[in-house]
Amino acid sequence: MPASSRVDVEELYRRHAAELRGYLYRRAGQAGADLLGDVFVVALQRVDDLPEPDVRRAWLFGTARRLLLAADRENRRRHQAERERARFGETVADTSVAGGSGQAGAVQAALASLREPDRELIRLTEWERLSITEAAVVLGLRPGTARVRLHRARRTLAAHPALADLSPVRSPSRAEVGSQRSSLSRPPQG
Amino acid sequence: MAPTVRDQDWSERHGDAIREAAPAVPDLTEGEKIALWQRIEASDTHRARRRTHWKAVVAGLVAVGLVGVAGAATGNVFSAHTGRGPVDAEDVELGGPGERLDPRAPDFAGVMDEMTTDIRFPSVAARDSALDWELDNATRDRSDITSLSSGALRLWTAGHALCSWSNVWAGALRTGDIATEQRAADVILGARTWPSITDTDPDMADESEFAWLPDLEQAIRTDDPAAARTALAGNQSCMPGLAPELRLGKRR
Repeated sequence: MPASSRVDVEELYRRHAAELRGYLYRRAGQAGADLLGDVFVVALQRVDDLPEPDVRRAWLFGTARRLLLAADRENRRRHQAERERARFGETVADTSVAGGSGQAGAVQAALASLREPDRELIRLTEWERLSITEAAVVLGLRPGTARVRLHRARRTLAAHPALADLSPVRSPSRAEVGSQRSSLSRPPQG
Repeated sequence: MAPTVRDQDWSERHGDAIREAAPAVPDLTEGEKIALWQRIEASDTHRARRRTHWKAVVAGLVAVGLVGVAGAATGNVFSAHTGRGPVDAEDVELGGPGERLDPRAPDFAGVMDEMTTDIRFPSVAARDSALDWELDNATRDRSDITSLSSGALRLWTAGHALCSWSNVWAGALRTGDIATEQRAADVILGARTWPSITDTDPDMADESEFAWLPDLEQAIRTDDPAAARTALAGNQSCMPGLAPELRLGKRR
């Protein structure tokens, strides 16, 4: 592949800046949105070894996610250095912007019940409209793993009491139940 | 989670509800967008000048120890963080998931430390020893390893942690320290849920990287140090010095 140029990065900026800013803002508010420039500074720094064009969008989201994580680490380090350092098994703090009340609040509650990587998979595919393969790149997962995790996360969300009203109301026949159970007995493998 | 009829009721209505719950984002005006791009370009030009200066400095260095000084001074220019991930599924398969790190960067040791903080070791000394070994392995021949995935690094570090815990477990078993033995066993038996392992090897079967973990788990359950040694040694999962209780020596 011929080396990319600054013009390529500028084109990426024109095409993806708005959606990346949306992603950053939704995860960390204005402080997150302020990282947009850093995403493209990294892209310019790596202009000689950008990935293939068809995965550059996912690469940009992945870079944005890493910057968010780094900023989060830096914040935590600044405020709670010793305590955070000593604690094992911690998860990344979710600093995403609250979604409001009513149904949005219910959805946020349901999303909050998921583990961080699964929640992020849902948000990347629904909010940012990334494909599963792109979301897998962002999260550093195998595409097959991402598919299985997304499938399970959707099942968990659909079963969450806050979203119960959204499930189709019907009374499945015994035969339907058997059929549905057998189709769910083994999640799809990637 | 056990499958139920309810579980599969994911519908377009759920997707719509999730999307509608996305927080609103203030508009980015065209003027702001143009101004930001100008700042990005200016910032990169500034960094490029500093990078040139850094190259000149490094070219003049003879003592390896001084590289650390130069690295510390220019850490924001040449970082182990490349921002690059795998380009396709094959790349993931061959190199592991996650960001491609550059072991030649002066901040590689710090990045490695940061990226493995969630991996639980029985002691700080064991962790330091494992990370020192990986650092030495990655940087010994600088022309050899130019890219290392964060997934692989985390997976290997998890292997060292399990090796360390196996050593604690075997020592406690030998001396009859039931509390320590149980604590170490609990950690090892819970390891299959560690993201550092599951992100790269969710299956732990066949020829995968951590296919030996079920054997180690079985050894722990049956209080069989010899079997634990076989599980770890046969797969070269212990670096020198981490498991003397299991008489595991050099890796190669």
